[in-house]
Amino acid sequence: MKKLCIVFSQGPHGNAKGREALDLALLSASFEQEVSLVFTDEGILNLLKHQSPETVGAKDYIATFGALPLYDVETILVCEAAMEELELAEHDIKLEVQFSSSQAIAEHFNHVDEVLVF
Amino acid sequence: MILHHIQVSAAQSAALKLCLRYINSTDSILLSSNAVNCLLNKEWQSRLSGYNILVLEDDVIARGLQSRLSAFKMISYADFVALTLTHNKVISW
Repeated sequence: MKKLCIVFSQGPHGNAKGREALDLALLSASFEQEVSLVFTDEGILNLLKHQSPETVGAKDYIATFGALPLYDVETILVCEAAMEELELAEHDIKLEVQFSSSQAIAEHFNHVDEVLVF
Repeated sequence: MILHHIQVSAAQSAALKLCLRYINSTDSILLSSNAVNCLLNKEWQSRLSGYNILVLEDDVIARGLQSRLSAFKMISYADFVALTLTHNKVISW
């Protein structure tokens, strides 16, 4: 069983990075890997409420983030520094997440076996 | 100890910026491909000072930057492989 950390660093809908990262997270979790997620920079925008990707014909994978708890993905860290840069508030984020300092995230990277950045 | 690997130009991607936000003092940074170009820039040079910076020699030679980047530690592909073994993990940003 591997501790796999997936980092979302790019915003949704402009490219497939977010969708690929979520697919990998759910797939790995279903194969009994211990999956944790980190959201930073515009990757945090994946978790913004009130999105409607179908407006631009983009696939609505955002709803699928709701399935994470079913897959036992419990560690979801959101970078506070990036939140500030984007002037986002905690209530803008639709999931149960842990808002974390950069040091806490750096520490997490040390504890896991693999880190994949999308 | 983590080896942070950056392969894209700092002018086109936030990879290097993100790496610096989460890096520990004992970690190393390997710049390869277009990421080597940032070392030409005074600002990036100062931001990276104090970290163990390694540069993939072939990518520097390919770009004709040997003399401009002579201040930085050059490594070969073989060294790169060895580095991946002496670090706990590699993060490709």
